[in-house]
Amino acid sequence: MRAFFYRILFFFGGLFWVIACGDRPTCLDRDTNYVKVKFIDDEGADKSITLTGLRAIDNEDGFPEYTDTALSLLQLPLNPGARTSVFLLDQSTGTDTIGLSYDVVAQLISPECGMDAAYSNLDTTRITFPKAEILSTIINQEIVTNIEITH
Amino acid sequence: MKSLISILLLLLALPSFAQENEYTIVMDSSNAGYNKWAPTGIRIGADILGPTLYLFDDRNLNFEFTAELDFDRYFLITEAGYQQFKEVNDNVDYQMEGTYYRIGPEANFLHRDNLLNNFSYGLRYAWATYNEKTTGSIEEPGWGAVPVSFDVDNRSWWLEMTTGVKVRLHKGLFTGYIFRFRFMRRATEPDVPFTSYFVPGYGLADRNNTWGFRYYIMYRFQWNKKPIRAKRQN
Repeated sequence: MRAFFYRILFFFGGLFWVIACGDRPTCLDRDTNYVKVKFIDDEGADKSITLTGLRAIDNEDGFPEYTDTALSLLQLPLNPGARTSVFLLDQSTGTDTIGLSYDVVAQLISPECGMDAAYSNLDTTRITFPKAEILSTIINQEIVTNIEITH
Repeated sequence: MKSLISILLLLLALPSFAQENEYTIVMDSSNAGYNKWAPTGIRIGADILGPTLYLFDDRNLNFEFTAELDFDRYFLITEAGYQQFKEVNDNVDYQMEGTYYRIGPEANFLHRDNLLNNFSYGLRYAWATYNEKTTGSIEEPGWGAVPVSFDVDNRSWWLEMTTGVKVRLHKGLFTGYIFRFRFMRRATEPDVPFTSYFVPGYGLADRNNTWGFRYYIMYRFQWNKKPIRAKRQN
């Protein structure tokens, strides 16, 4: 009788051969974690800035989607291969600079899905606007504003 | 799952036939003359699931060995393993290899069984040392695919709860399986900006806990007959 139960128990154990290692990842399109720069006036109200172009140092292609654009919230993608990114904001009146420093940690989502980067500890290295304030050093989807610039 | 639990409960409810044989001596009610805490043998085993799965998926190579020493109804378990995980595709070239070790006690609920079969519950402290090599790229809008490459040595440690059965097949030859629940993993902070992906003996590093299952072939080397308690008299 006991041997019978052992065999039954072993049969159920054997079932796990079949279901083992079914942990295949699903690759999802990830959202980019931008640094969000908000432009305001002296009274704290949104104030648009009109860009004729947006460039970055060590970036040959630039960001053509920002050519001739008026906006009060600028979303800047960071360079995952460096710990600083310097952006050049071209306007009709001249060029302003936003230099950012941050920590970046690479992570493998899965061999099938490739790699991703996690950014943290945002700081500024150089900003040519008259006044800038860091509201959040965390860089993720939930953050509404990282840096507030008065101009 | 309910069926499996029912069978386990039935198994526990079965009467134990404590009879002497070539493996056991039945202690009388006084236990006089027996040191029930003295080890009577060592059971050494190897996992056969890891090498078998490698035949179907050559990305993941895993060897694991185990040794058990008995102390009355308890066991001291030591386990050692080697794991290698490789994947090369258009996205990434990832290679991990390392060793892991576990040590911990196990309690046998079939301690009156005269064939020394096991149905056990145990705890383990586990640790792993491993190396990860990763070459790939990270895509960000406006920056394109930025190439990155890391070579990281890591250490990690965690706890496990285990349960399983071991059944004597013939003479000293046993087979059995074990389920593991791994939790409370901790790791050293690497000195390069790369988050560990795969930990040998644990699995995916981003999981707070993982499950495992292993099938073993084991052999028990016996130097003494094991004293077992007689059936309780009601």
